[in-house]
Amino acid sequence: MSVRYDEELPIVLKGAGWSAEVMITSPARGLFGGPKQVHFALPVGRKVPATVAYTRGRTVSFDGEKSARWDDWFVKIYQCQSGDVDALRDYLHRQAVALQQANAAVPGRPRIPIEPPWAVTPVQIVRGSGEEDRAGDVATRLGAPVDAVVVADGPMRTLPLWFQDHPSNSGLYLLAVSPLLTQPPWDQWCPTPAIERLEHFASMAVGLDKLHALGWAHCDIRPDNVCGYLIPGAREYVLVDTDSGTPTSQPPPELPTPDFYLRRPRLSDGLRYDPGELRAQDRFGFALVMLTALAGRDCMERLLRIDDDHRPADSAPAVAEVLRQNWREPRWRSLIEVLAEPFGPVGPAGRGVEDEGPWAADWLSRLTQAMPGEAPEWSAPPGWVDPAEYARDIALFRTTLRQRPRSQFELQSEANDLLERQSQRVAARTAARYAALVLLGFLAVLLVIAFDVTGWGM
Amino acid sequence: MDWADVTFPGRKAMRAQVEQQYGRGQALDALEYRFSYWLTNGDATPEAVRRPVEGAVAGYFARAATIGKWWGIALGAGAGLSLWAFAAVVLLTARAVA
Repeated sequence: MSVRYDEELPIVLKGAGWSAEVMITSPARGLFGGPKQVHFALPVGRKVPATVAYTRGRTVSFDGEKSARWDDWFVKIYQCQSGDVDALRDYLHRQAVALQQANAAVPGRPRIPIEPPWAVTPVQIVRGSGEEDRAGDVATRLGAPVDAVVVADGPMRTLPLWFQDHPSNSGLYLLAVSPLLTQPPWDQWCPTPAIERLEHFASMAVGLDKLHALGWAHCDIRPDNVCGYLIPGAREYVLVDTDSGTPTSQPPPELPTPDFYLRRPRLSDGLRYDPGELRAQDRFGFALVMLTALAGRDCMERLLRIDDDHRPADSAPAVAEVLRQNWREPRWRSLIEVLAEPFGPVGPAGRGVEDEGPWAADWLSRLTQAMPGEAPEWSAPPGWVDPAEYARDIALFRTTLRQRPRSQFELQSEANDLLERQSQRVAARTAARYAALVLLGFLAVLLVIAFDVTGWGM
Repeated sequence: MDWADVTFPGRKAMRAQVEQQYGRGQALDALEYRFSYWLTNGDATPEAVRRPVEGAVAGYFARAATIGKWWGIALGAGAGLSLWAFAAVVLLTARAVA
């Protein structure tokens, strides 16, 4: 029988007073690239290999409050070895419950777990075996009769063939279903701190503190793992890629964080992270996300780049210095000091970034308090001229320069050449105008004299 | 007509003077990131960036305009005096003939 990749896999998500049927597209359609080999470092010290394929799902029916309906889903399909599936399911299951609890701590009206606002993207685990799974308030199952799945020689036509390499193997599959979100287009550089974005991190900060209080750490917080979403009247940021989360009391032997974003060098083999270091890594990542949002990606990467065996992100004064170069106006000094605090040995308000207890929400609140008031009167630097008189020349210069493809070095040289050429235009145009005016003056005097001498004026 | 290519007496000297005051764009170098930000974002650039960048660019144009002004006055005066001389010659010749 040939595999039909246009067939969709139905799943059902269900909670108290609501249910949703979601149709999942085959990963073979390549919406998010090909499958990958991953390793889960489980808290028990066991490494579980899995193949993960990425795809999406769409809600086809929803029972419950209309505002709670989420239409598009991001789906990871894990395929494990037969001896690993229970351990991985248990791990992902506990993770999903912790994420639900973290999201429940975000202030707002009572809501179901798949309904925003969230701090971390909620994940629902679906068992490929067809049995029901229940994580916290959400029950999940494949949208096909259990018998059709678990009986190897039964009628398998209710499930698409792309879902399993063999009918008897469906139990080796686990699906992680989370809302499909988009990454925010972080600015490369923010000329002034984008302080208006601070309030959009409130849910994330509260949820991160709650996750830590529950004894979990995300372990891979970085700008690439933050997505944005819109809800009526608000825009929020949320942490994604939560399958890296781990209980802080049973730390894994290695962190999933890429080296570039690590707070401290990786531990040698055999050593384990202590809970404080996991919390500190999360807070370090959260601070990098805030810096990216406020100062831009270039600035954040500059802090992490090693130059002469020195990485600015390892010291609060070095971070503050980079930020001061970025934002030179004295009014940003207080904000810079607070922004740099998590990179120092002590941390915000004298509390270490490894400490237990709420941290992110306090830090966010201190950042908000450090925002300056109204901008002072601007004073023009030497050589500054009111651009209004030359608006057309400036527009022409900018338009011409933008039309030419170039590297940063070429841009500088091209800008200099074009600015000089435009200056020549202005000089020639002004010279012609003044020459004509003076000549007219001479002509007028000449005519007066001519009339006087010849008597034609009489 | 592109004013950058227009020729007139003394144009070469004026061009050299503009080049000299231009100084290879140090004011643009001093703008650092602001300049490329303004270039990319155009009218959407925040006022805090737009004002110093456009003011610095306008500064170059203003200095070029000052040079152009004095060259224009000199050129106009030269042409005007030549016109007067020509008119005087015409007038005197006409009188002599009369």
